[in-house]
Amino acid sequence: MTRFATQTVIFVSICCSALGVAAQDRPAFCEPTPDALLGGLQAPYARRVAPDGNVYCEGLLRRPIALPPISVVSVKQDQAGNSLFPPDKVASLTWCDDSPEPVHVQLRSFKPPMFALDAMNRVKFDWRTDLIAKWQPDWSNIAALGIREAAIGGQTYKLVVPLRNGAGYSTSYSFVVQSKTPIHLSTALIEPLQPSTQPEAVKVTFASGPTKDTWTTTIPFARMKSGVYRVTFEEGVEQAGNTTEPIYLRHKVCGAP
Amino acid sequence: MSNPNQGKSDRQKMPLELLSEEMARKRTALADALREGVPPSAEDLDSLERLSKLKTILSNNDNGGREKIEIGFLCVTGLILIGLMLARVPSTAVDLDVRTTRVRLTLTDQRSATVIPGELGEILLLKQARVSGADEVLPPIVGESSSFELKQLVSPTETTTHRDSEDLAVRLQEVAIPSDSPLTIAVGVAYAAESRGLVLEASGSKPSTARFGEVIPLGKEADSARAVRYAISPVRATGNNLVLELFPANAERQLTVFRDMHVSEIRFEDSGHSSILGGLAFIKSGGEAGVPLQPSDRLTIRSAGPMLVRELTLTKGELKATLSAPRVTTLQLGEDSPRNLMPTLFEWIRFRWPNQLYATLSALAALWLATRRWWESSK
Repeated sequence: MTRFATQTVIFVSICCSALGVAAQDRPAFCEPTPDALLGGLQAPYARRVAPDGNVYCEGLLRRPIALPPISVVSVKQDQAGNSLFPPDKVASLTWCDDSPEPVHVQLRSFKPPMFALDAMNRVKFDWRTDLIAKWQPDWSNIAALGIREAAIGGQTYKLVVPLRNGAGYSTSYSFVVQSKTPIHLSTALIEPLQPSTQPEAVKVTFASGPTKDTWTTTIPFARMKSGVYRVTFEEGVEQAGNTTEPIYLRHKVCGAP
Repeated sequence: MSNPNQGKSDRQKMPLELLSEEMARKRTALADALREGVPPSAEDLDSLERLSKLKTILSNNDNGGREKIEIGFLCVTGLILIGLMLARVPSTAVDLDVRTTRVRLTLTDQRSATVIPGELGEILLLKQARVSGADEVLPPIVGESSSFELKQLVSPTETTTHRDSEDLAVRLQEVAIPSDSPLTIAVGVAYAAESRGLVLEASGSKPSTARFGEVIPLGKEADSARAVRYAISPVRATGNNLVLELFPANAERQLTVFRDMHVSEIRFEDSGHSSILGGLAFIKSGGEAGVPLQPSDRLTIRSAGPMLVRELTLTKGELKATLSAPRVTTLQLGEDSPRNLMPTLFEWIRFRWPNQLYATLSALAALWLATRRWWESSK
């Protein structure tokens, strides 16, 4: 009996060590989900190598069980028409930013199967479409965030850089807000951090998003100067006063200083 | 020839009974002699007198044994009753209704990560909010140091209705607490000029976060009729020892601070003194009536399991706590020589089985009286 118990403990220890090593195999910017939780998935989220040799993570994750606050989960450059990822090609995500700092590209599927991708690149990110074309080929069903850190006035912020599927550029940004409870957001408060000018409130209209707990809206930023803006979507003051967690948007007009 | 069975039965008889029989025989002999005109001899009379004295002595000895049994029985009964009245139950269920100025709660490990003062889903409208002990404030311009203050915006127009005034109030949207580390929350009454509010102090090894929405006026260029005149600017404060002083926009309305929150410890004290204003303690095993709590009574309550704060409300500058504790092990009330409110075993039996207790006591008394009567008649 004692021998059996000892063997069991050794076996479990070896398994745990192996799982730990597998999870540690991923870069720090990837999702820290233990491999043990990804068992049974057809293409589990794992470390991959992009055509340019950079390491990134891609695959299927399990749907998180949580009740997050009202938050902006996707910021993309507005693109007309359906945008699909064809199989066996090299896709490209681009953004407009002049910083030498790398951008953390984070893609999450809105609906099952829960495709996920995390990469850390400068200027753009290219990768093979084998997995995304199979599991979530529709760009509109994917939440996309480009995040990089920046110090402004002694404070470190996580700036959100709008992403785009493929080449091109648009100054209209498409935002997706996720909330488990019904929301009636009607205003976007845009507060400039850099350059520091007067805040501005823009009336917005949200349309239903890809899932029942998501809403989407588009704001044109063409007339705004390049800089960093704190963007908060909110109800009017005459309503309850719900607001999203603010995001710090990096807006840059490409080709302009 | 004598009957051996007769002798055996004589040996089995008690000495007192043999003596009585002997005296009866002597009396009969004397009576027969007197009937025949023979006067009783001095020896017969002496013999009868000696037998009578002997019977008295033996009878007294027999009564002494019975009294000992009676005293022993009464002593045992008395000791059992004293034991039941002195020994206290190891744990009991208690309900508390307490009016207080401050209460300190230690939250259990299993809890929600979000605490929203006010009813669930309601955003609290505040006239004023003071925050201190913040390690990080966003945007930083709001709180240059660890403290800052948010105030309800005052409309520049004279014709501001009450409803408009509430629209411009500061919003408390969320207080997020760490769900995986110990946390203590002290709730008290905050004081400001001509108003009372709520003070929340969250202390733990991991930071707590409070999210506010401050109404700000927008620039003059937005003065057209369709333009948005005001917006809500989010302010976030994070800290391990975060202190929030919240003054509701409508002071008359009852404010529910917490509802159905599990705590491992609850203390009603402020700077080492009792903070109780009054209330009642309902001890489930100790009878129907509640024990009144007097102002400044020091209440000590400890429990073997989690206690449930059913409701903590702020009404007109006074906190009211309603607490249910199913497994209280210590319940004391008082300052220097506290009164133990834990019920005795007798109270517990009387509470659990009142009819059975009185029926058993009545049956025991009746049995005792019947036994004594039978004992006396058997002589």
